[in-house]
Amino acid sequence: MLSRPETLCIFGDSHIGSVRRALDAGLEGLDGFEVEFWGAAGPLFRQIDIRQGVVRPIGKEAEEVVLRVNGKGRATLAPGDFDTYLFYGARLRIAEFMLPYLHHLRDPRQAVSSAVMQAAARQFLASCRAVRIARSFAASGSTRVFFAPAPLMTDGMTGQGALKSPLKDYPRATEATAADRTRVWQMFAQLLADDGITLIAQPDETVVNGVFTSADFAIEGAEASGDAGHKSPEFAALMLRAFVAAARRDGCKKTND
Amino acid sequence: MPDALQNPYQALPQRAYWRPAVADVGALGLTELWTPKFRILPKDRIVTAGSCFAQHIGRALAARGYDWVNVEPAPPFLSAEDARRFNYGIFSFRTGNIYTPRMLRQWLELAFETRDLPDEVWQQEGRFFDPLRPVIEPDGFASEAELRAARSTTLDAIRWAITGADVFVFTLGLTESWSHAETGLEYVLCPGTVPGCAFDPEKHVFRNSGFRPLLREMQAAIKLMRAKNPSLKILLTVSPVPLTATASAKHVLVATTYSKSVLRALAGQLEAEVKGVDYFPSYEIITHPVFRGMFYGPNMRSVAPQGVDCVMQHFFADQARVFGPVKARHRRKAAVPAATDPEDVTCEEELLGAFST
Repeated sequence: MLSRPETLCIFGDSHIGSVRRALDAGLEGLDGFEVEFWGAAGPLFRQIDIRQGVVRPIGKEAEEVVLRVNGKGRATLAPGDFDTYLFYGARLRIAEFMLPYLHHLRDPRQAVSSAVMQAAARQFLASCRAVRIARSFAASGSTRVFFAPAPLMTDGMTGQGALKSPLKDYPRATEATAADRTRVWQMFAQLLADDGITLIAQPDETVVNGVFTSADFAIEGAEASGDAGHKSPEFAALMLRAFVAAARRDGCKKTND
Repeated sequence: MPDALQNPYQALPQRAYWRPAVADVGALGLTELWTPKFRILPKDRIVTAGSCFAQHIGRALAARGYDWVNVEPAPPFLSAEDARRFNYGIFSFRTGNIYTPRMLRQWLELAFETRDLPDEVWQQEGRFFDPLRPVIEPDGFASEAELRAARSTTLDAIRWAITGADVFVFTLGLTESWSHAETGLEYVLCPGTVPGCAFDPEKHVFRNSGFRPLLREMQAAIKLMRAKNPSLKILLTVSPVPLTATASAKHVLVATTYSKSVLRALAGQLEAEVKGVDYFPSYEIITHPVFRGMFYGPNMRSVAPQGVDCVMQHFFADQARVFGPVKARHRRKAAVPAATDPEDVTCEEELLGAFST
């Protein structure tokens, strides 16, 4: 047992904004955790890289944003800097995978085997730099690593986002059931667990129309801006609750071990 | 008045004479090996199936901007290596190799539902294998339901491919095959040589088909395809790849010659007899003594990429010679990615807004 609060770094892209707002609004507490944020938005997030096991922004602009987000002068991240890391969003856009594969699970004319889906999921994870960072941190053995992928697109706003065309190709994803989604989440959970990472799946009660996040969790002003990606602080609060539950389970497991 | 012909050979073109057509020009100077019956244009929907050599033809056509139809493409995010491992994009549909005319007919009958789906499913160590294509999933399927769903997807792809195609390219591969003694189901590979099924001499019977039964199988297959697509043109080739092994009790070299000779004769017969069926001599380009085996790898079995290139050069050159050049078809460019990710437009605002205090 730790005698001091457990240090937690919430590392990610623009999605960590909703987490900060959820904490600021007191929608969910992270009791027992001493929290720091670290990350950058979209294009600048792509300028964050890992070299010799240390994560750092590459370039002045990215560094400025990282320092502003962190607020504590931390320009780099090493696995041992925190007891726990929560990768949040972090460009792992699970919707891009869910959409075609939920369609395949629903359409008997386009069935794919679980082995094929798993191979694709492995490749999908491997193509995400943040997953590679998470793997490296987890492999160090000096920290716990959790990963909450970017949420599913907000229902009714797909016309504005990157999913417009794929939805045309994969219409049956909208028929996906909770069991279908659970099957895909469990596969990702297993693949990440193999690398020592705990997946924080999007709570199914936030999902509507098979493959979308309910518009109840849209970011403020989403309708006007067409922002289908970002979510409300209420959504982030649910994710934090799922994280805390998983962290407790993980802590109990470690204690029992 | 012109002189009357003294014999029918006088008016023949140079390609009819060995010396000018072969001896004087050498292997790499050969021309007019093929006088195609029908034109194949880049816009034609071309379906390929058959023995492993057919995959080279599909790939070469696609590389030239021809509309090679891939009805069962790899799902997203599968790496190229994994797609190959799971047999996506090899042929127009995910049957794996179809070596024999009987196997072709069998797949078509299953696709067009004139034959009942086989009950037989192979199982080993909790994994399930499709006897029609036991290596399509290297480690087998997770369940029988998954196997049947995947097969149903492939049968659907065959239906789409055949009914929508302009040209069906089929590479004949083998005369030897194994089938179930009672059900007659023909296997693509001998049971026991692949995971999922132990060989049983009581149940698994060998057949080395001769010309007449193979002709009947091909005629039935063509009839079935034409019933669904009357204007379908069929281009036959014979695989130049020798047998890996023979169960005929003959030497494998002798068995290879038998097998390929029968298949070559079969292709010739169909070309001569059936309207809209042609034979393209890729087999001769790789195997003929004129080429001195130059296109084979050291094992004298694998065909080198240069061989495939040579085959396809003849293909395009003879099409152009007979029908005129085709306009190069520019492959449709992939949509130009947006300068910025749609999510990026709003995400700086989102992040910096949250951390501005």
